[in-house]
Amino acid sequence: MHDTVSPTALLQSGVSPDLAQALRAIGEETVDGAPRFPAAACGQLARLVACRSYSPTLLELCHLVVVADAAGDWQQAFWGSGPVRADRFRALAAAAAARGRQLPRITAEAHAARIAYADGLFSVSLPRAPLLAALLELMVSTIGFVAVDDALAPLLAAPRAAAAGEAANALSRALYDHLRDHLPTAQVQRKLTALTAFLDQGGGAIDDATVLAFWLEASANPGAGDFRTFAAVVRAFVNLWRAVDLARGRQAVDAPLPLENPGEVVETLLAGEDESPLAALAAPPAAAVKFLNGREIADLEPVVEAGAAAADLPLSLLRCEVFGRQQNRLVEATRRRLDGRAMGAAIDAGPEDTYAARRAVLDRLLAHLERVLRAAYHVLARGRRTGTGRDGGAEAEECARAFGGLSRRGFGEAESRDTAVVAGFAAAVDPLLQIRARLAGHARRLDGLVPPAGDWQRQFDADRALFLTQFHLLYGGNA
Amino acid sequence: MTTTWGTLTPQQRAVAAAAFEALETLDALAAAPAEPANDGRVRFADLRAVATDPDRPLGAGLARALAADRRLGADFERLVARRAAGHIRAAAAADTGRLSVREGNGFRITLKPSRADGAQVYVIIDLGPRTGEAPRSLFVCGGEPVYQKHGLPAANDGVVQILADAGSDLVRGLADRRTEVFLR
Repeated sequence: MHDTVSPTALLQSGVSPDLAQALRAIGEETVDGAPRFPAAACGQLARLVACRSYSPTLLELCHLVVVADAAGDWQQAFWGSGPVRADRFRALAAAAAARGRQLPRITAEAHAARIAYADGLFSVSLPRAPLLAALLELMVSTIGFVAVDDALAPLLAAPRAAAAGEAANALSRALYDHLRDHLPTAQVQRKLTALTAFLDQGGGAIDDATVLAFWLEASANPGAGDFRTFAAVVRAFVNLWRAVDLARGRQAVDAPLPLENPGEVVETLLAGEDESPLAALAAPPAAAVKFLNGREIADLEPVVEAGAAAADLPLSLLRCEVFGRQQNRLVEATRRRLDGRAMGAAIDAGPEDTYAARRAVLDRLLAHLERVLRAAYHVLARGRRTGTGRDGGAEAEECARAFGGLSRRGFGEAESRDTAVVAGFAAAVDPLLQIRARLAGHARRLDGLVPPAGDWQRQFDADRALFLTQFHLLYGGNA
Repeated sequence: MTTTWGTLTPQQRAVAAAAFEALETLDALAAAPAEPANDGRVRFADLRAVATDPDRPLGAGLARALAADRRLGADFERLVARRAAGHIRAAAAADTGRLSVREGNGFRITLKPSRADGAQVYVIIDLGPRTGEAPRSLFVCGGEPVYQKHGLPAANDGVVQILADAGSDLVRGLADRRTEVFLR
């Protein structure tokens, strides 16, 4: 249980629904039909919260409020009109500079607003203004406008660098107190302790054997944490793999590590990672075209989201796809309160797919990705060829055939000429290439892997016996 | 090369622990089930627009949300109070009688029964000597209903006059000494 909050206030994952909804609402808010905040700013905001590294950004926000106030009404600047973009704040900085106030003296530059206070200088990065505005939105929706207004009032009454620091500290404390009740710190720390204690007992390698051994030990132990499902264990080890990889990579470029606030280090490291290609496809402008259906996304997600960790955990991902899916159905069956006989039958029926069948799914997905990529090339090349009188040769014909063979949103002859749809195709090429590369890498690794049992059929049979025994242990059922 | 926890230095472990916490939290945030679009959540931009834009009415849904959420109500009052043209504080709590005159900073509201129709009351707002734009909205906070917003007609010689039902929310709210009144 969480130390400070009613368990009903938290999701099973440990994050409060209020916080999740507040962040989601910021991401989904629209003005005049356009997203109010850029998607990148919303992603950054979630990272700031998850890493608890918001203090420096709050300081920037306080200085930006000073700039906005010097231009007129700071609230109007943040909530007045239209989508929040850097250009709006660039104009505000210019307006504030034009007023010619001596203290603080504001200077507008191409990418920054410089503020000269009586007691110091500060430069606000204007491209970061949408993030700062999104952070302000989170503040008013979590700690409330009165708390924000109270913290900013002394700064706006007498703008000084020191007052900006005090306002930022007050806001940071308030947000920290709020998040303490809404983030799963204790749960995650217990989870980490369980994982690392297990690793410390062995050689510490995060690999397929470790994942399976940990699940067999922890899944039947309610005190160990949220490790009942194999999929949850795989996700936890993928995150630990990524965390270890980030920490090792950081030292390679910048040793020794500054440890005053590891969250700030982590936020910087995570910011350097690529956006999830599946998320990129789901966001505008790529979302105008249905490149993947729900089933394909579900099939791709574990491997694509595992990223580089998939290289060390190929068998775990395969087990997850096969036995993890069976376990999902068993979890659902427990909710329906299946009797012992029916549960036993559901367990003994085994998974829907063998390892060979899942491997064939990978080939089908790769073939589909190849088709949509060719279709995308067709749409984009057709736009470039228009009016030149050139055709594209055999390769272009093949791409045209791939395009013609798809009948999903965005692939119709007429709709694919719509500007928004063409933009969707253009934006999707890179994410689709990334997805294909990750999937092809995973398929190659599986093909090159000699499974511990000798071959894939024997491995499936061995794993089937092991997983079904554990499922009986977890869910009962008459064997 | 296999990724190994065991070979990390204490410094690396600290960063890895923070990274693990962040990644798990991001996963949990992404996995949180979406609530229906019309989940009753009040956007701050809407709250501010109702407080500051005379053309934005206070809808029944928002009025209910404000009454139900003390923090949201406080946020709304702060927005209304900021740059308000006039403010009447709540009167002493000890006296429970109803008021026919309310006075604020430089203006006065009088409730005067109509001679023609006893069921109606003139709400007379004497804005007093003032410069600048005349207020266009009147807010009554803290009564029943908890929050009211009323559009004001144009002033005539510094006086705004509204004819209202004696039992209306506006008249009851203004006569209630517990309410705070704002002009914007």
